[in-house]
Amino acid sequence: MRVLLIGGGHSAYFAARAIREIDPDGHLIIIEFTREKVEMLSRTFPSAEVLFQEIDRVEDYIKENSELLDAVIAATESDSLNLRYCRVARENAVPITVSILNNPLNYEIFKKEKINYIIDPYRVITIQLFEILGAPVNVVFSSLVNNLEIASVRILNEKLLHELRSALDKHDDVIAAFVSRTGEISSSPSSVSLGGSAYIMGPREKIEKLLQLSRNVVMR
Amino acid sequence: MEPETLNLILRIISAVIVLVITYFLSKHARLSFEKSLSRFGTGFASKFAEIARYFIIFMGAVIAISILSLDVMAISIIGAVIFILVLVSMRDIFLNMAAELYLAIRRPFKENDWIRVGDVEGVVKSIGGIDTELITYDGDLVIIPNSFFLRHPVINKSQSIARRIEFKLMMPRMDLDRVKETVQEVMKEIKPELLGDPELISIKETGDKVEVIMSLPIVNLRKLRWLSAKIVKAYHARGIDVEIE
Amino acid sequence: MSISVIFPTKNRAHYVKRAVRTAFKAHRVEEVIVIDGGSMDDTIRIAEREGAKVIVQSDLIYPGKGIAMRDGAYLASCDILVYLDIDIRNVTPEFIEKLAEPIISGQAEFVKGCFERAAGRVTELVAKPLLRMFYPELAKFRQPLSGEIAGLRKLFYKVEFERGWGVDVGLLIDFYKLGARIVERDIGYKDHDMKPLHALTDMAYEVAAAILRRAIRDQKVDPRWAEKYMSGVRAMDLGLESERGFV
Repeated sequence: MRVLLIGGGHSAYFAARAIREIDPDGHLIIIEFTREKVEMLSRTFPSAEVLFQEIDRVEDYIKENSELLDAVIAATESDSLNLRYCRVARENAVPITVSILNNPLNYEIFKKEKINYIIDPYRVITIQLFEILGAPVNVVFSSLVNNLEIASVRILNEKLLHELRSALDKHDDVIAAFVSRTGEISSSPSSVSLGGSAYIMGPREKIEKLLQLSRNVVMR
Repeated sequence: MEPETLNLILRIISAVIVLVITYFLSKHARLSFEKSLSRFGTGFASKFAEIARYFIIFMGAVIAISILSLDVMAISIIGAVIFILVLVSMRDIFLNMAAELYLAIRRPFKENDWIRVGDVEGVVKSIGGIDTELITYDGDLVIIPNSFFLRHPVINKSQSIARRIEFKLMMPRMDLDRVKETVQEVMKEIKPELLGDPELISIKETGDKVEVIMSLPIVNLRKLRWLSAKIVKAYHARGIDVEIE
Repeated sequence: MSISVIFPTKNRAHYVKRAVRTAFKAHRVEEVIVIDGGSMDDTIRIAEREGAKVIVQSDLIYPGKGIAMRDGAYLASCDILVYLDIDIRNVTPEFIEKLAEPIISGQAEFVKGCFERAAGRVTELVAKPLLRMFYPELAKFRQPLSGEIAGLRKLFYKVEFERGWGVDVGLLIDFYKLGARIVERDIGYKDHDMKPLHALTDMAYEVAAAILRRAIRDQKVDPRWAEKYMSGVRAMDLGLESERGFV
């Protein structure tokens, strides 16, 4: 796959490693704006094509190569540049356009620009803290590619457990694993006691409904 | 002041009040419609809200005229005729709105999907309120009115990020082991441009030619032509002339 | 030549509407960009409603003025960039036109705005003495730390943006090193909130650091001496000064 990765900082480094892992023989092109980083990147990723480009020449590169590029991943240290480059990639019909955010507060702005995939590296802070601190509901994974979502729900009262069981009975495409207070994992809701958790997985809208149900029960 | 004049002034004041109330009511209704219908797309919501707003203003104007005790019947008839004419002239807009609503609810495709509709096939570049832009295999930009999607079935070919495309190569008859060897070499050469491994489907002799079918996982379908040229060139470098079907 | 007006801001909902509308009224202004520093009020919503392009600065550090200015330059698409503080109460379209005029007329590539008031304390006590030492050609500027500037967009891609308060003086030095023609323009009286004295300590440090970093880069100073000086300033800040010198 021909992937254009823009940026030579922290996010770009991890992006390049991930691309190499999934597609070791792929055509990886990295664009950086400083010559020192270009040299460093060439040494770190010897099989990649590392190019020095001026900031305002990158858009021309994307336009000129849009027919051959399978993906553009904007991972610079400025969300302004990421937005600019992803916008051009989208306008020129590059099939996969990814932006790695520097500031999660820009998520909605990028979404409005209809960028295919927006990666928020800081999302994990919320997920992990919610899990550690025992939040009543926690969206653990939400796929960017399809409609799948995984969430955890703390079973705080009998009513919630009952509601959850009946909701799971209704939906064939929603599956769950239950973790008891002592850490035993089971697929049977009957083995769960209060204080345990349910990890539910299924289509996003159904999971969201279940989470809303849980929130309502907790609120009451 | 004569009672008739006073009566007329009062009626004018009442009519103005009705118009003012109608104006604010229409503004409020527009905002409410925009908000409540935004899940169907902002373009659709704003158009619907605008039409609702004009309808409310129109009704307010009819009421104001009736307060002024003008010839309501005549004015209503004229108003209704104008209203119908406006509706008829806006037929296309309504059709496009219906199409936009259909696209928003049914979501037959999204941006960057590879679709075929009618005789056109390409990548969806943007989905607008009135039309949708596609970029074809040849790189041409095609603008399709949204109402077109109501009348023609859409085939969405983007089931996953990559699509497998079958390439049929015709080459001069030669030793089949040599054919297999060259196919493996060429597939290795083009692999960096694909998502996953290319597969050799079949090799068979047909008349004085050898037919090779290989399957390539491609993300950017606009790359097909370039890839075909690359394959031809790779064979040419080995002294073999191939044709791609 | 088209103009992008850039407002770095944070929690300035009261000012944003007037600022954006005024900017759009200025001749040749085609886009207004609001770079937000993580506002908790309605700054972003109002800016978007007024037709400004909005983005939140990439790093929410304090002070992140330089990052906001950099992100503004990177988002802009017009030929000339004009930076203005958003909290100027008496802002008019003429502010923008006066700043951009020397560039449009081909007289300069970078313009520093200055105001009808005495320069600030950090300017007089830190920036000017250091500029006189290392960049005497720039000591003539009345207000080298002014945040009201204009420049050719393409040149902003060739300079280094300091992250914090050092950005204004850093840009001045970098544009000078690029060989850009720089002029100072008096844009009248500026009515805005002044920083309290205690907030100036960090500012003074960052301005000094920005000048010294460039003096080292341009080989105008021995790096070992400068590093010692800079760690000394930090030690003074932290109250770590000893009788033997800085620890």
